[in-house]
Amino acid sequence: MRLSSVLGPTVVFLGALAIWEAATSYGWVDGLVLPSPLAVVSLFAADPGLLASNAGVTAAEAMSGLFIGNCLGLLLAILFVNSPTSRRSVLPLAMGAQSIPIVAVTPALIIGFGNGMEPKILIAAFLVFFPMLVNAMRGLRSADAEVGELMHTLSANGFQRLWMIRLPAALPFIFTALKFSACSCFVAAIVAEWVASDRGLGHLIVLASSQYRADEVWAAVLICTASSMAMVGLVVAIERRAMPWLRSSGRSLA
Amino acid sequence: MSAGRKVDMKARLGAVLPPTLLLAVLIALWAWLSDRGSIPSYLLPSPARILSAVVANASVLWRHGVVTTSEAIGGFVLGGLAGLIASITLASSRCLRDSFFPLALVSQAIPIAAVTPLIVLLIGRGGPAILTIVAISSFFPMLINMTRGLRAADVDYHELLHCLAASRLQRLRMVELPGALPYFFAALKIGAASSFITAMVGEWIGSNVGLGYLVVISGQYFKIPTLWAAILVSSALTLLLVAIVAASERLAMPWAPADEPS
Repeated sequence: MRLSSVLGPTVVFLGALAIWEAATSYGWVDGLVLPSPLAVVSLFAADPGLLASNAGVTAAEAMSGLFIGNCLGLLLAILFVNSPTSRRSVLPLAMGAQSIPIVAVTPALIIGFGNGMEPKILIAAFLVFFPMLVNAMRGLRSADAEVGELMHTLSANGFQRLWMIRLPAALPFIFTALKFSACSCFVAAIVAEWVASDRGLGHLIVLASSQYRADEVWAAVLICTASSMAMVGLVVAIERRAMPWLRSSGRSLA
Repeated sequence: MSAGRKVDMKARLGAVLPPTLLLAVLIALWAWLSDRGSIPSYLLPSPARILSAVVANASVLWRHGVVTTSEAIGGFVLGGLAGLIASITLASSRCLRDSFFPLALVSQAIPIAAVTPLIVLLIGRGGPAILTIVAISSFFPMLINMTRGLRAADVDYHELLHCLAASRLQRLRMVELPGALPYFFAALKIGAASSFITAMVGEWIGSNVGLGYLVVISGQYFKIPTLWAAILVSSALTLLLVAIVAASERLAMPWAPADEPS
């Protein structure tokens, strides 16, 4: 790794922060709409309990949705992949369903299930389900045909073929879907909380922005960004451990 | 030729028929369950009621749909153009690329929709804020894909053009941009799929007009068929935009294999 590839981004990042701090402290922009970075950071020190408890609710919703949606997607992909008919009928619909604005269904779900955590978990699960289904189906089919034939001559059963051939071959595809969902499950949870909730980061964002407490809005968005980045980082770390043979290929956030 | 076309038609039918049948079965099941009362109509009305809500609210849907469409398409185009220009700038200098590209990569992990409240605070409620959010959400995929794509061209072509004393602009136009076309369309597809939903979610907290606003306000007044009608219209618009991008991809790169599930 070259020095400039670390130094460059750091300098740009710190430069942007400095310009932001200067813009607010010299009064170029109204503190009402753009708080200084120091004010945002000091809020974390001033009221850590408020931010932490709301972040906990949102994280719980996002994680549950992430888990449920991905498990269902993977299971259905394994079920469908062996039958060409179901594969050809399900895959195009699943790809089409990805462009349906599922998040927009939130108001209906909230009417149906109340403004607790359930509708948010459902939305997050729905949002991550289709990418996992599509990617896992592609991945499970990407296994080398010759290896499949070898397993056939070794009279391996269906489960052994799945476990030894198809799942390892599908791993890169599965992790692509996981990286996507690690970020989007937080979006789903927060956005669903905007519509109706009494807890969570999304609730905090709506409440604070209606009262022009810009520092609180920034703090909530920062926590959300940080947690989703941490989640993506975790997935990337697991990916490296799960597929050590790809480790040399460089940046895997790509 | 005619035999080839016959096979082609047959393959097409084989690709289109199963999903259509499955969709029809799913809709029939949904209609049947709704009629039996197994699905509460306050959650999901029957397909017939949603369709009749689309017809009955056509003028309202049109008014809000035009606003959302202009925000979504406007942001999609602006963000894509900005991403394209930024990626050409980054591709021209190694120092710039090393400084900005890692930050752009990290931005993939940022939930752009969550930034909406900040944009609304900065710009104020209404169309321009929504347009900005959509633009941001299609800017980064374009920047990342094109920065990669512009370097994807075969090095032999670069050497050939170097021998022919081609200028920097000629290299960009003849080698780098054509080589980056697949990456360009990949970014367009991401942007097309997300632009309508980003605009609608933005309207939830940042606007008093548009399909997203209509969804929320119908939910608050328990006008569930109207809510689903707005969702149906926005899904149709998204699918249309994605189809336009896919069709222009086939026109621009007739040599590429069609992206069909096999």
